[in-house]
Amino acid sequence: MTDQPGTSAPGPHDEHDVATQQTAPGESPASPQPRPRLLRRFGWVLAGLGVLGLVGLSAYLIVVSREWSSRADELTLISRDLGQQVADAEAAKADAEARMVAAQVELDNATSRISDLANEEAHANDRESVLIGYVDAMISCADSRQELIDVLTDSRLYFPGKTSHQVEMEVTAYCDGVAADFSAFKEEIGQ
Amino acid sequence: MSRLPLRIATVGACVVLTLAACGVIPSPPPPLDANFIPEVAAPTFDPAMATSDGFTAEQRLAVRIRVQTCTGWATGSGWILSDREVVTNRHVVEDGTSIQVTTYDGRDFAVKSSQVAPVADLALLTLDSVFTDAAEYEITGMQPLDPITIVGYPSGEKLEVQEGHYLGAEVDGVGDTQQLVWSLRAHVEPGSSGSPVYNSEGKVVAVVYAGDEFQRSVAWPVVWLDRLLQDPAQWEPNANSCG
Repeated sequence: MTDQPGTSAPGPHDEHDVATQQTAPGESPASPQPRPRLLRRFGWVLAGLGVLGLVGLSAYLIVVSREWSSRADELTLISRDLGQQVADAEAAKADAEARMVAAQVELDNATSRISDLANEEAHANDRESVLIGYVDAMISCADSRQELIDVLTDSRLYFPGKTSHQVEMEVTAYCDGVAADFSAFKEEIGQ
Repeated sequence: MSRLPLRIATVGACVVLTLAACGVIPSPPPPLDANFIPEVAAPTFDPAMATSDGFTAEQRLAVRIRVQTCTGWATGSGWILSDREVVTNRHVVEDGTSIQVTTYDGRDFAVKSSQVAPVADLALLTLDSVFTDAAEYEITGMQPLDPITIVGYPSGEKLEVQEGHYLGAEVDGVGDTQQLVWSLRAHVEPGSSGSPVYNSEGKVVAVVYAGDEFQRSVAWPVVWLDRLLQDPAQWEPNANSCG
């Protein structure tokens, strides 16, 4: 292996060396350097693509924004409608509750009235039973007095084992008792 | 020449940032669901749930009893056991010559026959088949302070519902039968005798037969009624002693 300057083949690092040799001081470059130009073009292309991308992205975002805005408007409209419906339902509910309270009061009044009427009827029937008893007693009193009158007016009749005076006393006591009870009953029922 | 790698790196970073930004770009709103506002079934009213006249079952099954005796008349309470039977106290109908039953709404029915229990202060009245509803009784134990409801006609006046609670079992001090009866905290008056005692499930668990001014009442548990119903031969006829 020989290593002679100027005659050896260029190695891996010789490109720089060649360029250096080509732009030696006092010499102008013979031709434009191709690699930076390509890179510059590539940069411009990239920048252009970037600008196009940004324009596209902006357009997309505008469309999306409008769609969301439209959705927001739609939901606002629906929420207002629902709000009105809720308000109407609340009002209807309050009205129904008020009617229900009124109906409950009316029902309570009606049941109370039914109980009152049933009670009045029961009392009337109670009084009827009592009055029937008094009527029976008074009929018995009248029969006894009639029997006493018959005995007193017909000398052939008599009361076995008792004098007419005794029977008269008993009948009078019985009839007075019936009359007193009846008076007390009338007072009790306010008549 | 030394700025070139920096430019490339800057462009690369922009591309990377742009791609990364794509991940946070909002997408358009999806379409609204068809059932976005859900359909809710409106509540319906079942007419079968309503009682016909506003009275409770306990009230409808309590009856007022009017008894004509040899010497006068009296009132008591009772409850409908079946379409033709009413339960009350023996002392309410004893010596009765004529017995009528009045329902909560004022309907009067004549009693055809009556039977009384030999030990417990209970009686069974038989009528024509006139009732459409009947009470259910339940033989059950009670714990102190268990709620009870008494429905009857105190003093022969209008129908009343008394809330109270169970106190305990005690020896019958009123009828002197030496049997265990129930002591209750609830106000009753003459005329309440025979009133049904309902438990919290609306079942008749006892029959009131006495009370005092201290809001205490006593009742025969329905086990005594059940024994008589299981063996009807134990009933005795309700004979009056009118001369």
